[in-house]
Amino acid sequence: MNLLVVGFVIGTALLIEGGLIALPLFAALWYHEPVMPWLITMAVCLVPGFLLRRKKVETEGLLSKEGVVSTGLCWIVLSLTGMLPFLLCGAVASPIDAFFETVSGFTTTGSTILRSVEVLPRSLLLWRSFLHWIGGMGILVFMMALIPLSGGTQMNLMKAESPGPSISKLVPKAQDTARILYAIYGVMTIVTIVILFLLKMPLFDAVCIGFGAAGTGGFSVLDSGCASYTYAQQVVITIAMTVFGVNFNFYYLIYLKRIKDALRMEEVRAYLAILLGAILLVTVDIALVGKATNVLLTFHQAAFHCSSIMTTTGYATLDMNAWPSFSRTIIMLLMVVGACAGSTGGGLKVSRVILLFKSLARECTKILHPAAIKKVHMDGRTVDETVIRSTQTYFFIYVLGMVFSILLVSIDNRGWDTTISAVFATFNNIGPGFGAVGSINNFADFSPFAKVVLSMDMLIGRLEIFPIVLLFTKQTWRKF
Amino acid sequence: MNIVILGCGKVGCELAATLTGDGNDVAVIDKSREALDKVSEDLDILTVLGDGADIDVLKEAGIESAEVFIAVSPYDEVNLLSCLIAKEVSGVETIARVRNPLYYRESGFFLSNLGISMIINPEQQAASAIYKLLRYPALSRVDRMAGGNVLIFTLHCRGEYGFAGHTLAEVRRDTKARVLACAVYRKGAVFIPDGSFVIEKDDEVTFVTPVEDMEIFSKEHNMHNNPTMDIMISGGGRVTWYLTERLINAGRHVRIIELKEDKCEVLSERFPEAEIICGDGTDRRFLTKQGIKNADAFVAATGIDEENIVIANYVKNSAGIKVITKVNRTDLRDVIEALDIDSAVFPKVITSDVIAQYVRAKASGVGKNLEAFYRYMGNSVEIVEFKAVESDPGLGVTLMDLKLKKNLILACIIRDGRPIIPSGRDAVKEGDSVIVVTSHKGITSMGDILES
Repeated sequence: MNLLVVGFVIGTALLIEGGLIALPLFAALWYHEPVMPWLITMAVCLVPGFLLRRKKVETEGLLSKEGVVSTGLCWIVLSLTGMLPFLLCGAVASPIDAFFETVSGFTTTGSTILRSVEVLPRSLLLWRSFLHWIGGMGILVFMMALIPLSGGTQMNLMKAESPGPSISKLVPKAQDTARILYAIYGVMTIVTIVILFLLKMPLFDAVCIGFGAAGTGGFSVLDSGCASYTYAQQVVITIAMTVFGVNFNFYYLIYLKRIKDALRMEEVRAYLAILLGAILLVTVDIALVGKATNVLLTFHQAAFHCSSIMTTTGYATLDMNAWPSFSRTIIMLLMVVGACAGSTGGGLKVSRVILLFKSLARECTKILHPAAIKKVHMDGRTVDETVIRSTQTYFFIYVLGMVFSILLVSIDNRGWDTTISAVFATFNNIGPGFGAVGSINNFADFSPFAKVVLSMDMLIGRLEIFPIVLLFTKQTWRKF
Repeated sequence: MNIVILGCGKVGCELAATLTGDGNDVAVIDKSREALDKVSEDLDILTVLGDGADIDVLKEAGIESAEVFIAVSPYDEVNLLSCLIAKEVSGVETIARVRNPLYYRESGFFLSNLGISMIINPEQQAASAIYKLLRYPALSRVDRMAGGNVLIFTLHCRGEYGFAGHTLAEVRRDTKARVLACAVYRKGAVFIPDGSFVIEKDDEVTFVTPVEDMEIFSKEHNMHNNPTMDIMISGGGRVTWYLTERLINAGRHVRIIELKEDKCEVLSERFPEAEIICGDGTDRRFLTKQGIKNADAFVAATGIDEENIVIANYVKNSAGIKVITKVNRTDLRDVIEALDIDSAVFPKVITSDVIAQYVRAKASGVGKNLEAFYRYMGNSVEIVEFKAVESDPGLGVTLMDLKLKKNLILACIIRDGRPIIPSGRDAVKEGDSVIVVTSHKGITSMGDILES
């Protein structure tokens, strides 16, 4: 392993983080809040960043191994530096809490250990939401959009950071691909913020909620979550969340005016179908079992929360603990399915679910007709067997990871609801769970050990397990 | 520019590497997922899995917005068909590799009637390169530029020519021929030298000279540089076919050794003037019996690289004649340099160079200023010929006052078809062609050679 290259990548990412601190710094100046925490954090990012980049690296580029290690380390290092403002502003006392909060931001989870957010400085609230936006599309993809890297490097970084069973470039150059993704992302974020602002949401709230919805994060700026926003504003947030959970290839195809190809994307269709089905089922369940009288309002609430959970955002307007069991189960299932690959959302990803079901169907055919040769198809083309194999492996390690985390978190002895849903909510980058970590509660009461486990779950879930897990294997660090 | 390449073999990959290096957006189509995965590990390109003759696959690779389409899949038919489709879909410039001599003979028809811009045949290119080496046997490589008026030749200074220990300025002073040394290869390192550079034993030096001065230079240095007359070729494949055609037309005596009897018979039908011998051309004793010691040159052109290399090395050691070997695998270059083999010809490198030249010429825009382009010394040196046009900077300025980039030599100016090896007092004028030797990549015009 070429540690110099890894250092170079991390150094570059630190410089970028240092640059991004400028936004909360300006906010601190604007709102007359203390600026020292931001200046210190900026220095802590920039100085090591410059030092790590000082040595010119002579290399052919990143190998696959170095790509994976750089990505895993990058996210951990950026979280460790990104948590400084929480400590320096005095909002959080324990470093573990600050780490949890920052990781939750970067991984677009939105789980919080803060009992009240309204007491925080506004610059810190902005930073929290801005973390979602940066983490949503990926910090290394952002780096790629800014700086040209040598041929193999880009793909190895992109592979390690981008979610989904297989990764494809939109255009021949990885840098152009990264730029297109960020252009789509940026424009859609601005549109969301402007619409919210036009609907008379305060600008600060609109920006933070916009960042959260775009990155499918879920940090809110009010203790009431999204409950105090108007219905119109909530509808806009619902639509925005849903839109950012769609595979970004869809928008690029639309931009290229290949509408037919875009509409043919199985993943997007399945995503919308699952979402719509879940909304209807939850509405009916709450109306019949929960005996709700205002069906339209129920539908609105079901749509908001199903979209919020499926896209792994985690905004809430009410306490879902009060919902009937069936609806809550649906919500748990949506947590697992997650959003589309190539979106800012987390979870298992709709395309993986489709592939798993299709390969299951194929196994059934094979039992009935042992000699049958059957390829799995998606979007009208054959899916490579290696993709299917890695999807199945991924599903296994995904289940394994959650089970293991549940085991570790259960040491805290806080009951089934809380333990399991806390792991579900962090591993899939959603935010709130059920029980004591429900949508109106928080994660503050967990023990420090459980908080560390849940923080790692968030990172593992966002980077799709391997980049973090491989950091802890001997094989990775062997020289040869 | 947007370029679509069909075929991810050696030529396809080599082209993709060169063309992305020039800053183009490249998409590669292939039927093999493994080949595509491998190439996208090293290169920043778009890969598309599928059949190149499938319109949807071509569209997915972005043929509609592409400027050039290059078909170098293993199948001539697919290459030609995909070029026709690509042309029809988006009117791009199309380049096809065609290897079957039957089709290749019809290339005039393809070019004029089917609208294909370029047909390239690697074996024919290789044969032509080998032919040039047989014409100048003292040289380890020779290329023609400026429409054949200028020779770029490479000498292995083993000591017999008396260059070692002399500076390049002295070499130039002591000869009546107009020559200029422009690149030196020493133990894996490449130098673009100036006059004070001292040649050492075993250096490989590349010179530029007008074609008529070659003979003077050869005589002065006692090079055995007369055309070889008796040539033995091992292997009766396509390269041998094209080579024999040219050698016989030039009145040389050719003896071909081929293992397969049916191939021998076809060769004998086609070339009554040549001696066709059925036997194992990699068998040392057999070669001795066929009189290898009395031949002037030996060409190893079987289909197997390793056998070619081993037998060529053996012949060089035992018979001491000029040996040339054909090598398909481009990564064997370093191995061959360490051996006692005069020249190696890489059909795939030649092919990708010719195509890259065409694409660069197209990219440089203004009326195809780029006229010729060769890569030397494992891709680290490029020799480029381009035309100076009115809008170019630096015209009329003497070379003394012209700020050229480092590691770049303006080796030759061709004015009205006559080559000038320039001194500091010469200047490039509008309409001249210029030959530049450089370790910079992608140079195509006057503007590129000046220090900015």
